Amino acid sequence: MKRTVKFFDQHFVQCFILSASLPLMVNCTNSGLSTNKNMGTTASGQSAGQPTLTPGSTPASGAVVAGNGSNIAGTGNLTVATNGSIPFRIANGLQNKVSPASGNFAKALTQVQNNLPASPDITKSAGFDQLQLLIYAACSDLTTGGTNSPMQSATGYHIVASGSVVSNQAALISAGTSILDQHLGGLASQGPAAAAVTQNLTTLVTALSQDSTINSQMAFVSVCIAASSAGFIVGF
Amino acid sequence: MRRYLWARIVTVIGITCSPVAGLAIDVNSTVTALRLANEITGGLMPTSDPLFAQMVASVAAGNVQAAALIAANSPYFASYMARRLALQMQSPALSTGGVTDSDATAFLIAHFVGAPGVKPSISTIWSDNSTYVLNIGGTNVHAASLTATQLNTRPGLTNAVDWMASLVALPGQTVSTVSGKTVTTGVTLPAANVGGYVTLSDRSGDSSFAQYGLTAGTNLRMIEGIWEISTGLQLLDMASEQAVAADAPRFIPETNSNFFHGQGQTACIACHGGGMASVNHGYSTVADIFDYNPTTAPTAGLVYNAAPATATMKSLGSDPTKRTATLTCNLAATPTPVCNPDSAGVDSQQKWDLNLVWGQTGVLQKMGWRGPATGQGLNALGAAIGQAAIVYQFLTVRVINEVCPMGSFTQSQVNSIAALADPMASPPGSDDVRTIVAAVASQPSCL
Repeated sequence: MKRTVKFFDQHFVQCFILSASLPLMVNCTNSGLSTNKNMGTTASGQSAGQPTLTPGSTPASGAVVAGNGSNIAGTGNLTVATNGSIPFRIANGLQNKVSPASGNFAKALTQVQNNLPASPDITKSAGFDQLQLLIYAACSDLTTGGTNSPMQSATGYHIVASGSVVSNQAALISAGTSILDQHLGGLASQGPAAAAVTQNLTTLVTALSQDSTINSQMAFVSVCIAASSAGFIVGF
Repeated sequence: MRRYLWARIVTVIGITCSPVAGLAIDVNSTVTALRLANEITGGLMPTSDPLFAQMVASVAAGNVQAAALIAANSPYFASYMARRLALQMQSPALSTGGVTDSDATAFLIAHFVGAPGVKPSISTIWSDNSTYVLNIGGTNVHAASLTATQLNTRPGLTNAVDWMASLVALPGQTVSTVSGKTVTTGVTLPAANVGGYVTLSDRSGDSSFAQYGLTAGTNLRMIEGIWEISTGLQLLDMASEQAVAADAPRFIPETNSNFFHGQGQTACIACHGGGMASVNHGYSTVADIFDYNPTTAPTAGLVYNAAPATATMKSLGSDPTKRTATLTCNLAATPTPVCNPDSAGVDSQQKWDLNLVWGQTGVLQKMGWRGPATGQGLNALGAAIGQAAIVYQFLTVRVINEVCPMGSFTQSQVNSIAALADPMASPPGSDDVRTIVAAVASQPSCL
């Protein structure tokens, strides 16, 4: 039990560190977006007397009738992954070496499906915390071999199960970067925060390697959870 | 033109001088494309898909809307957003919770993204006389029969369902009929009674709109749900006490103290005579001819009754044993029946007249009603609903809630985007929800 707690403590700490470093790559780019927008949307031939959605009261001209952006400015593109997308996004992040329809992933999905966010609106949704459970289940499928035989952590991410965490360090960092890249369209390895990504993954793997009770497969799951979680958060 | 040229020059300078210039990847465009893909396809589109590269290129070329349209036209959109919008439309709650795939949701997905040989069509969602199944390996499969593996695998992978490629349109709709204890399935529903997706349910417990609207009760939920889901309006938005007792169904007690004037509550007649539940506003098209009863017809979904008898008429109340008394409505009888002796009752020919009350209270104008205001049968009513401007506006609001919930949209912006898909607008819109999606996703407040 103590070992499990320690394992997860390390994972969550590193996940937060990793996530915190990644918004840099998004934030630093937002300012540039205004230069290449082409809305292409123009008012097209409205017929006279367009109806409003609120009989009995006509919204004042310019009043916001849809979207919460007027309440929380500057976050128009912010959405939460929903119950209809989360399983697929986890699988995409892991290059579909896992499936929401099989293994631990499927079992966990059955358990938490009704608790996942129903709305993409951050002011109305709840249940995003369930994501961690699903990601853990999916990542564990990569190490079991069972439904994903042969073991995908080995074939897909070059982790040598019998080797130590230290001997797998490069492969583990590469695996984390690869997972993030899947979520972020290559930004983890090619974006402005690439060095920070590598540094944080190195810190995580180094910390894991210093605990003799953690083997390479456990370390892989930790990296997998951290990278997948961060990929979701940055991918908002 | 000169201003545009200057904008281009400034853009080039900005990109060249930006701190991310020189990286192997176009960071700005990738970030925007990533967010569009996540919003529109739920992230089902992998970044390794060539379509994602096309999106990045479109953004880089300065056309965000084109990038959004690439996502909207992909099979990932059909599997995520179109399916999500379809699942939501099975009850006025507009929630996917507890709703599963059915003939009704397959119908809606087909109307959102089209099917081989069939164009997308918002306008016929409540009137198209078709059934949509999926061609899986050469076999037509009802959506309710899809496996968890098929539904939990994204397009492009083995065992996945590609809705856009697999949907097959079958002409007509079939229902069940019940005679005594005999249930007959596969009976063709008369075209005049077809209501698009609302009259599709091939099995019991399929969580379809038909199950929601027609289970037990009086079928009032059916017509109220049609109005609420198509327009986004609530019961009281359309209610008015300007109705007369004849407009209210027979089972609404005229002797109730709240019938004409509400005392601490809305008057009964406001909704049942002047609102969505009036016998004139479409209730006649569904009240007595439809049922959904897992007890009496456990193998059936939607049940059609071509020749309603007093004992089966839901317009006479939910209790079959009291329908005769409700029809007779002898207020001198003991016990006093719960009824409305002045009710005109639902029309046996299923006529509807929206001019009554709504013509005077401005509801038709509020809805942007452009179809006929009078007619006969659910199919004609559904076709008219599909011509109302509010349908496209409410769909736009729903898309905003999905794609850009933290954006800021004025009524004017909503109307402008809706017009792009409204086939009755001038110029005619696309009748395609993906037009709305791309326009919403590329709005300034959404980026």
